[in-house]
Amino acid sequence: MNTTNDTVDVLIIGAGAAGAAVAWSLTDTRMRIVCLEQGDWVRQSDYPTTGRDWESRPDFSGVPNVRNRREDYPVDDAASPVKPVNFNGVGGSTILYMAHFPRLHPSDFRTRTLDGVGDDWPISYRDLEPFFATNDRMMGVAGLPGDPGCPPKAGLLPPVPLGTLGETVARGFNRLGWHWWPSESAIATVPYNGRDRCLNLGPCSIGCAQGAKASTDVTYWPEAIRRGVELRTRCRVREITLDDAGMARGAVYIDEHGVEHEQKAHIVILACSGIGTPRLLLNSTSARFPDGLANRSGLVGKNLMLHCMTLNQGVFEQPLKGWQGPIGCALWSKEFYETDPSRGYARGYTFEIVRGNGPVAAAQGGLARGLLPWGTGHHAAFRELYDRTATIVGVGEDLAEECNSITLDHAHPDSDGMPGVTINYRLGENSLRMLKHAGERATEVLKAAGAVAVSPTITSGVSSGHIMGTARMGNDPARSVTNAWGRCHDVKNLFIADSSLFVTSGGVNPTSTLQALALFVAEQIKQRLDSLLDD
Amino acid sequence: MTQTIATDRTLGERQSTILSTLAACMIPPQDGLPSASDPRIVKEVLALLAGHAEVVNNGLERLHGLATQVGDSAAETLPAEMLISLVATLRTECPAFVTLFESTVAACYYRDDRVLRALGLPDRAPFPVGNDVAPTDWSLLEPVRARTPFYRTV
Ligand SMILES: Cc1cc2nc3c(=O)[nH]c(=O)nc-3n(C[C@H](O)[C@H](O)[C@H](O)COP(=O)(O)OP(=O)(O)OC[C@H]3O[C@@H](n4cnc5c(N)ncnc54)[C@H](O)[C@@H]3O)c2cc1C
Repeated sequence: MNTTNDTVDVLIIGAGAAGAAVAWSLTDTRMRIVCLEQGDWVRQSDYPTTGRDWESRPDFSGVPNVRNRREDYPVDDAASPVKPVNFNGVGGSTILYMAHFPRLHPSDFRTRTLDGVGDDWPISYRDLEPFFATNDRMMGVAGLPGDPGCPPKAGLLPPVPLGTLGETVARGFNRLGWHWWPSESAIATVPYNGRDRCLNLGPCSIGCAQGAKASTDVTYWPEAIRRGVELRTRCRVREITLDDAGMARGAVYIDEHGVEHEQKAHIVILACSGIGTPRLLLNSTSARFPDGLANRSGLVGKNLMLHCMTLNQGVFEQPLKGWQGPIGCALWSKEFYETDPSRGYARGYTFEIVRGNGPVAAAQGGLARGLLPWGTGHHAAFRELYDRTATIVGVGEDLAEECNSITLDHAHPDSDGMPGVTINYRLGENSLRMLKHAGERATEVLKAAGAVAVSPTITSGVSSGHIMGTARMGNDPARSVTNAWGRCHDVKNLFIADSSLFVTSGGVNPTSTLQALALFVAEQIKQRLDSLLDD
Repeated sequence: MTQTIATDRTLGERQSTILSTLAACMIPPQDGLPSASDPRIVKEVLALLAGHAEVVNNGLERLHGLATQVGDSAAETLPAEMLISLVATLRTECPAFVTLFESTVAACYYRDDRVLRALGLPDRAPFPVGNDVAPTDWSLLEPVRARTPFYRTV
């Protein structure tokens, strides 16, 4: 192993949504900052939408085991009804995310007080508000001000147009008198900070060749690097090391040539995602921490939240032009977001209206669901199905349960010999009741919008890139892994800055909130530099 | 079937023939649309399936078994309707093969220029041209704007 005495001020692990934000924010301090990232930069020309086979590129799948790149690690989700998806590289999962950019609601931070379920966060929506605003400015968020379903926000870029599909479904919501609003989207709808405007390519979930989507490789990273951060790619961290005093000494990583190094640091910040962060902590065992680093609470890897989800598809008689425009960003509905005890469950969900697929995905989906026959009837069935389908996804609050967890999978190591992970996850009682409600309401609104047929509600086998709760924050060291500003209770120079910190999941996509949280953690570090390691 | 076992990245001649026949059964030609067994399309299908030799071998072995049971003849010589009904059985007995086959044929068929043009879709990659989406008439939001804020304040 190569060990030098070169000690940097801050070592960040993971260059995704959170790692980028925390690195950028800390550049104010002029400290020496290094970020280690196991993946690489994605070149714009590599993105699938530049080629004719754009719908069939396993190397841009969200499923790590399908993508199977050198930098991916095995994720065994066989026993989980919700399948985690991600991307490993500069930008992390924002390379593939759909840029649907809601914030958690104020009530999400107080679920115990308000509804007697989950736990309260040690911080509030108000604490995060300035960081939401900074993050929106850095990422560039399109939307329409004035949504009565959410707290107000300023500085939005012009909204993503609804298109025929969005307008059709919006009319259904209007007929029922239900709330809807154009989705806030981390997409440059006009030229923004050196990024060109969205061209409505469609499938944001295989990456944006135009660079209009706010993945952090094109938002935070160029600025962070200009301001002095050193980003080392193809460096996989295997272990966080400790010094004799029980403080983090640095990290052992394997470079692209398979050579092991130890990088020492005064402060270590983990931003490896809700799966990658607990994986690294659990893999960092020592006499002091036989069950994994910073795990005296036993909660590292526990309380995994993936969001419970429903998926309903409505088939319409007219073409919806659904393949045009950002797939994940049309409109949302907050009609059923806040708790209403008469519904028989606590908390709530957002409806997200998703645009249509390209022809290959539409045909594959139709074949899988038995809607496209073989033989002479195939063409007529395809014409009836293609571009006539609107999908409503319900994203529901997932109450934390300790039995939902990630554990190390020693039988399936990654390409550097580090264990993969197993997802142990089930849907709770409250989730099941919520999903039933959501499926029924989605069917109702699709019919109100004019759907001639609505598929049965799908709740199992759905994928989620929303991975939260596996190193939660809190004031009580027995019931949380970090304190209220992301510092591990057990190791005072070790911080966590990603969605592992989430105490509740809310019923929205997490990236806006997790980045605001990363900026909040960075701000706490900056403000406490003189007393950072005090009790 | 044993004489046609595939090597690593190629399929035997007989396997290629059966797969091509199956592709024709799945998507026949119609109204200007080619069949999935069109030489350009099926060449891509076979190249992709060759990377999954084990699943393909298992599926075709079983199909062959079913064909001899019902018609006492090789699968590739059966009439299309009979082959389609055998695939329905195969769907439960060898789901991995049927899923792989269908999704591969769909991937190669629905990216073919001629197919896309016949369906009235752009025969190009999405980037760099993109798509025009008409601006939205936001008066659609009037009933929602009329509501007072209803998110829970804390
Ligand atoms: C297909 C898809 C669609 C999505 N759509 C949305 C959406 O519309 N809206 C939304 O809000 N969210 C969405 N998400 C989720 C969103 O992308 C994530 O919430 C967000 O990126 C998580 O940020 P993170 O920094 O915690 O992790 P990531 O962004 O995943 O970054 C973690 C980084 O750490 C690196 N890393 C991990 N372990 C190590 C190690 N041991 N050594 C070195 N590096 C390591 C990884 O390579 C990775 O680059 C989606 C995700 C996917 C995959």
